Amino acid sequence: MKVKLFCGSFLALALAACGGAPSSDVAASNESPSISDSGELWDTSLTFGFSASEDATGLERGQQVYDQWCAICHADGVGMAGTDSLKRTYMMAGITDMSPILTERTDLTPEYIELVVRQGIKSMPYFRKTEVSDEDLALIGAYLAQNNPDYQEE
Amino acid sequence: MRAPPGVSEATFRQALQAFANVVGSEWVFTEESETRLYADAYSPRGGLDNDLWASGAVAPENTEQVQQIMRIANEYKIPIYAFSTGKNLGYGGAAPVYSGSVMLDLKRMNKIIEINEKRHYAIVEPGVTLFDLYNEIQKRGFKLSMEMMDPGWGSVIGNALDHGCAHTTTYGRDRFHDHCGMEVVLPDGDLVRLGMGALPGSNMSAQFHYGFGPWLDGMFSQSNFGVVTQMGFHLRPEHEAYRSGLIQVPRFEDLEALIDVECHVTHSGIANGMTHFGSPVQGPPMGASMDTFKKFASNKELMSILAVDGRPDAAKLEDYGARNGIGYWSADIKFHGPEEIIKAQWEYCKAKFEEIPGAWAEQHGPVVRFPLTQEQEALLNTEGNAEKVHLGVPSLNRFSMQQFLNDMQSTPDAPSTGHLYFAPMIPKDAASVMKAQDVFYKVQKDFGFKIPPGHFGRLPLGWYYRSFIYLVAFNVTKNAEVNRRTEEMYREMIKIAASHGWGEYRTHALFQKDVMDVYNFNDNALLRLNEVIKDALDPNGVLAAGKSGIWPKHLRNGGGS
Repeated sequence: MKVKLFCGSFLALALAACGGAPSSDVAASNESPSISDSGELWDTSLTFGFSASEDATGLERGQQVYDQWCAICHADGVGMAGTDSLKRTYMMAGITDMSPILTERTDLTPEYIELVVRQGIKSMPYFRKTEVSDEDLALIGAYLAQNNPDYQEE
Repeated sequence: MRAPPGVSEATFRQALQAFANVVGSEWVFTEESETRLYADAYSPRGGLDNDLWASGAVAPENTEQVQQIMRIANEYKIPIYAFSTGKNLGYGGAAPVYSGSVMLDLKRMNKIIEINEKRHYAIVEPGVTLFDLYNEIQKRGFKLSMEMMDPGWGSVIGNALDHGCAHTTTYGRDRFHDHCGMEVVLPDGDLVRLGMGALPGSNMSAQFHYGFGPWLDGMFSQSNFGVVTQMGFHLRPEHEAYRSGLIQVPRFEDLEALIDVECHVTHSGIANGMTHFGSPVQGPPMGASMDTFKKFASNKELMSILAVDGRPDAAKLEDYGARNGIGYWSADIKFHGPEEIIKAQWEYCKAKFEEIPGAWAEQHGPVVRFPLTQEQEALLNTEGNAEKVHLGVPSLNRFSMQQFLNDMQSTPDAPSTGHLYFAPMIPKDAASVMKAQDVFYKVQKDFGFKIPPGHFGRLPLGWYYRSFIYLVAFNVTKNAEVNRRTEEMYREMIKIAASHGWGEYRTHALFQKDVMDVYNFNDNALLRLNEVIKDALDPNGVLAAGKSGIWPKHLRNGGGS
């Protein structure tokens, strides 16, 4: 079942391609009446954390894995541990030209993303391979490096 | 590759090959770059030789594979340490108590077996997170509310097994208490279903706790007697609405009456959410924004009263409160249910609290109705509004607050890398709160730790509604010497707490023995009983050696750590 998600205008992320099947075996037996394309009712776009689709590939999967594992702390909005921490870091360092929201960054490389995800940084713990596989990590890296003019995708 | 202690490299290789035959070689991890990911990311011994370490990891995808892994572990005498998602940061993450254990990583077991909308329960595997279950309920359009913890990336089962708590309803916050039915792989690989699950053909495992005979479920929480592979949990019909109210009292001595009335309304089920006690004159409540914390810290008049050695002058704070229209103490009480009903509940509570001389009560934030609209959801976690976690919506908002506190305590010579929780249970009364504040202030001072202003305004948490958790978060840093002193102080605090009759309800992997040692009535009768059970169920002592201070025979008397 594909679920189309409403894209809140206050979100920097484009979420139109998100959603999809859960990683679990649950038979999705009924269309959800609580999710509406018009965005009138409850919707997961502010919650994130939904499992990436097994069908998605390439950058689409990169975005989905990012939404599942990273956006819960690194999206725009309130109560985002990663975004808030980066805001504090840049403020203390006097950096004013860097966005605390990872998807808005133009300097990220897959190598740096891999380093942080496997080593952790400050209060961000590292992630195991049963959480984010090497393949998915490379896709997250490619997804976040999209806006980097110096990064050439092979 | 590094073999577990007491296991030859040749034997270890054979065991790893046997594990790989069960789960596939891609799900057996032995490279240092992989096994180090199972250490505690917040360990006070991070990067040191004496940190708790894993020799390998094996990740099954179903119960049958867990059984086979346990049989192989017995055959080759390999120490195994099972975990669900390893997100109990501050309590050790995934790290094994017995260094060199092979991690039984259950993250791949992430099936939601059943969600029943009409009978309000779910049955899940250990890898299912709060986000997973919540999103599945929403995706399927079920009119259900679930109990919620923060951070939401943790395991539903793992949290319950470690006696974790939610932030939501009084009847559901105690997560282990809220479970119904369990499937367990025993240390020898045998499979048992408890309660109604033991009756083939019954579909009632998540609807009737007991089945027949002794109720053994508790034996598998915080224990090393089995690997839980499935659990049922109760859900609730969608709450329809939520509201909260803030009660404030003007005087220092009013805390006793405030807690007494809260006990009355909560224990009778009229206030049915989680109460947050606070002290408005001594600091912002939990859930306040960074800006509020900054405003508090830059309030010169308040700081001159609070930044003193020991307990601040109550008369000065009462005077400050009276002039600024804020209370000495406060209680934020919460209600879940149909709008008209919780309105009546609130009105009853309001009147009851206002019997305390000088007390005043006001609605706190707007009434929230389900299903949430976009606009409503966007307001959650913002100041003056409900937190997602109180409504049963997953988030890492609380985690974000903890990171904020970690960052604030960070110094150039001891940059923060995480936190360590000390979590003693204390009685739910004002005298005990005052005593605990004094005792834990003194010990931190004695160890030379700086205590920020507001210590005497920080009140314990009411996750377990008939007692208090006096939760203290210590900063874990990159400075090994600072961490060593923190560890030393933690051990001392366990003993000091015990001398007052207070004991931890859960603890970090490094302190399991220290905590069990203070629960020592009648010559350690509780530990001795646990050891009898351990020896009976796990004669080779392969499963989770040292968890809760319970060591298998061959590692007892200091053999394990």
